[in-house]
Amino acid sequence: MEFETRIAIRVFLFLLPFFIIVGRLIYITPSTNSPPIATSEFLQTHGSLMIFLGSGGHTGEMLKILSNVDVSNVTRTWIVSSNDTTSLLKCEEFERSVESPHSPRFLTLHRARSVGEPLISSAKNTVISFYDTFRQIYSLPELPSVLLINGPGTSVPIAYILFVFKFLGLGRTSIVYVESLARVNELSLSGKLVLPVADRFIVQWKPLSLKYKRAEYHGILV
Amino acid sequence: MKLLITTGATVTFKKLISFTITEFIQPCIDLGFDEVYIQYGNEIDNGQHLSKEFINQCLEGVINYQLTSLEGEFLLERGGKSIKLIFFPFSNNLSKYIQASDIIISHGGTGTIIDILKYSKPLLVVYNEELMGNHQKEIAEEFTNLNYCINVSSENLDEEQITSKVKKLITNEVKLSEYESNSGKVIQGIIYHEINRVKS
Repeated sequence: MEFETRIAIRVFLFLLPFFIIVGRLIYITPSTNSPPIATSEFLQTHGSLMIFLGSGGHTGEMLKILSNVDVSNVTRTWIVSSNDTTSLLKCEEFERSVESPHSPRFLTLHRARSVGEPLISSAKNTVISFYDTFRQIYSLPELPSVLLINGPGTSVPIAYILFVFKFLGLGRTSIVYVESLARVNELSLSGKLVLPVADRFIVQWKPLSLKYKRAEYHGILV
Repeated sequence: MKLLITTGATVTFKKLISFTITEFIQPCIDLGFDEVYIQYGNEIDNGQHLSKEFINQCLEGVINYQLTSLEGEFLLERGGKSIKLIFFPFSNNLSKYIQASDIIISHGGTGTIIDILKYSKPLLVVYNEELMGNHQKEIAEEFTNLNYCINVSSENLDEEQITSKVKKLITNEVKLSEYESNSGKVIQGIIYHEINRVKS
C-alpha cells in the first residue's frame, strides 16, 4: 500500500467516530426534525410518565395541567427537590385522588442552588446535583416513556440527562415541555435551554407559537 | 356583598395594600360591600413579618385597629353602615375566599387569575409594575383581550377610577366572558401519543 493511501485510511478511521457521533446527534435531536403535532385518544400500550415538580408556581401550574388528565393507567414517577416539602405534600394529595393499579414512585433530588450561596459552593453543588440526578434516574427499573416538565432551571439537567441516555441508546424517553402561562412573548431561560432536546414543546399563548417554529399552541392548558 | 382583595404571597404588594387601606375602605362601604377579605402577603425576612408590619403602618391613623397576630377581623362602623374587614397573610385554600366573594380585585399572578376565572367571578386585575422581570402586565392585558377580566396598572390606583371600574363589574355594565378550560384533553392526548410512539 502506498504511503498516501495509508495516511488517508488513518485519517478516515480517526475521523469516523466523530462522524458517527455527529450523525447520531442529528438523528436523535428532536429540533432537527419537524415536531409530530398529533394527539392520541387512547393508550395502545403500557407506559411510564415522569413528572418534575419545580416548586412554587411551577408545581401549582403542573398540578393544574394534570388535574383533568387520566394518569391511572400509566406508571408515575414524581421528582421533587429535597427542600421542597410543599410540592411533595401537594403531589401526595393529587395521588390520593387517582385510582390506579400502579402506585406512584417519588424521587427527591439534591437542590442545585440556594439563593445567596457563594459561587464556589454553588458550582460544587451543581455538580453534586447533576451526578445525583444521573445516578437516581440510572437506578430506575426502566427509563420513563415520557418526561413532563415546565421549568424552572432545575428541570433542565433532567431533560439533558434523559437526552444523553437516548443518545447512548439506553432509552427512548420523549421530553415534553410546557412553557409557563406567565410567558406571552418571550420564552423563559429554561424553555430556551430545553427547546433543542424537547420532543414536544408546548406554549400557552399564540405570540410564542408564531415566534418559535417548534412551539405548539393549543390554548391555555391549566 | 363581599369583596376579595388578593395581593400575592411572596412579595408585599405595597401600592395595592396601601391604596386599599388608606383610600378604598370608604368607597367599599358606599358601593354596598359588607365584608372585605384582604389577603395582604407573607413576606418574611430574618423573622420579621414584613407584610404584616407594612399593613399595620397603613392602618395606623386610618382606622383604630392593628393586627396583633397574622390573621384578624375588624368591624368598622361609619355613617350608620358597617363593614367587616378580614385580614389574612395567605391561604392554602384561597378558593374558599374566591367562592365566597361577589367581586375580586387581584394581583397579576397567573395561578391566582386562573383560580378566580374557574369560579367565573368578576375580576379586576391590578398588575404590579414594580416587579422586575415579571410579566404581570402582559398577562393582565392578554386576559383582558380575551374579555376574562379588566385591568389597571399599580401606578394608576386612583380612588375614583377604581370605584367606577368595580361599579361596572357589580352592575354588569362590563360583561365578561366565561373562562373555558380545555379540560386536560389536549395534554392527555399529547402524553398518550408520545407513549404510543416511544413504545411502538
